[in-house]
Amino acid sequence: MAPTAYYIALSGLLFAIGMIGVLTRRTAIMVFLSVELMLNAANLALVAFARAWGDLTAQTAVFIVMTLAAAEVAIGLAIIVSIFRKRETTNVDDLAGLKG
Amino acid sequence: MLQVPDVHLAPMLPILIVLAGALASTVLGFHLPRRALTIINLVMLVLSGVSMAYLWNSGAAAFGGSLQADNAAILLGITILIGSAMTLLVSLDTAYRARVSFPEFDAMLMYAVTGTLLIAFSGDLITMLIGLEIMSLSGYVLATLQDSRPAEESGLKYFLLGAAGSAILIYGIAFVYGATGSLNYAGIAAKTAGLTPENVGILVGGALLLLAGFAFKVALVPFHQWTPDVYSGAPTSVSLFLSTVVKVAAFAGMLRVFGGALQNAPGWASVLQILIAATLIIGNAASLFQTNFKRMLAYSAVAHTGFLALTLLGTPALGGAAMTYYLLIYTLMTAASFAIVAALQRSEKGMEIGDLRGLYYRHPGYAVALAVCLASLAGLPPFAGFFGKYLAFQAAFQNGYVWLSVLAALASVAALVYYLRPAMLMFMPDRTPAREYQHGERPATTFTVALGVVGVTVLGILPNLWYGWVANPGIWGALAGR
Repeated sequence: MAPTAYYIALSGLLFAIGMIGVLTRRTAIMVFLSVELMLNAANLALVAFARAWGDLTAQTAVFIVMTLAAAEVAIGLAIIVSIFRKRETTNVDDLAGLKG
Repeated sequence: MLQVPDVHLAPMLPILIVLAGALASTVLGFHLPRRALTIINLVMLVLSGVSMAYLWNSGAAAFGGSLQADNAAILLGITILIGSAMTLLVSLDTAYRARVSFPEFDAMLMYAVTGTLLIAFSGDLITMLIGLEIMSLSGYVLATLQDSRPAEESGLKYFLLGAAGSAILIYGIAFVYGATGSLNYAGIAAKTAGLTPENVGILVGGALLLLAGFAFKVALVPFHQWTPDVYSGAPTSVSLFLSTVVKVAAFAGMLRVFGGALQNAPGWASVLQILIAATLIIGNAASLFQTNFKRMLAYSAVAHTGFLALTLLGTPALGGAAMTYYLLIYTLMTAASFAIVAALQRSEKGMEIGDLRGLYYRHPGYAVALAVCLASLAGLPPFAGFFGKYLAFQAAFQNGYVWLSVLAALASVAALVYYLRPAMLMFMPDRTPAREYQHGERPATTFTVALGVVGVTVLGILPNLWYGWVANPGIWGALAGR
């Protein structure tokens, strides 16, 4: 049985990759996918900690987080599609009308 | 052995009533005009308030402590309901001009209110997270609902940064669970003392991630960058909602988590004071340079986040009371200011500050009301904003954050400049043609504005009308539940 620290290291790596993606990617879809990576990192950490504590509450929490992620996809893609229809681009650098 | 689940719907009643309003708007939108739905929803908000009054002092809890209808939840919940009712009243008059007068507007708003109440009533991190996500997801839709380029831009910015903030927050929840083995506020609070050194490290990491996630939601610098763009790009009635109700709920979550569950956890307070100092400096400095009034109100919301977050540094008994007092006052004065902007603006861009010149001679009632709100936002006595700031400074000062309290006092002096400049302009004579919408004064908006103005004046002169309810330290001692 692999120690919990390995799982946490992997989840930290996933979270860091997601964070870097959010900060560097310029397409709305890619930023959004990076956020999903961060959510999955959190899920992995929850499951690993739940196993370490021998407790099921965090395992059920993972299901809730997965549902939240699905809801977020539904709303996020709707917003991105409505923007793409009007502008033919989802590059976040082009969304610079609001300034000051 | 089979355990019977701890299901009691009575403590959940205020939330269920609001949810019923949301579902009614979703379904009846096909049959009824939006105006009828808005009135149904206003009735639902009042009924929810009545059910909260019924739950007062009952200390009821359900679902094994995951949901607690204690007095703290009820006081925060009433503030949320007042802000939501003000939004609905303003939207009655202005939503059709903003081209968002759909039943969906009401439905999304009521779903968001359901989420905000769930945060205030939460008893563990997962309940809080569900409430926060319901609120945020509805908020993204509300910001995007208007079919215009600025609204879509503000919606996407809000969504991407809000989703990243939620992900950080969930990661923080995972770490706090990893350190304490509990998702329940009371369980976390019980286990923060006597942890092994490596678990303390995990707990500090989790608390800081939670702090960063919440900082996104309440707009603490440096996580505030979406705020001015979203508030100025969204329709004004939506900005009103986001800057009052959503912020109140995010602070309610912070109060539950940091004032209750992580009350004795190390580390987060010293980081929070740096964030507050940055928020006070940048929020107030940026407000000074705004030329658009709506955008200035957005930066003023950032600056007020700094003052509100000061209360988290106080002891829960003092800080919780100060925060709840301040949140109601903040809701009243911000909602009334945004209501006036929504009524008098020509387009959803809001008004330029220069356009306010001579407003007193064209709309005397609204001009005086706006001047009162601005004076209260600036923290001038005898208005209630003064007492709110005073309580916030006191809470931080008495817990030993002396330099931060001094900085906050200096920042509120600087704030006088940008709040009083538009207030003065309104009373100067003006010969140029009016640059605001002429027919903006309508009954529902006027009622909202009057509620805000009378609220900040009366609560400023007789603060105990509200502070007397929130001051009882017994309410704030059990934020984490039992």
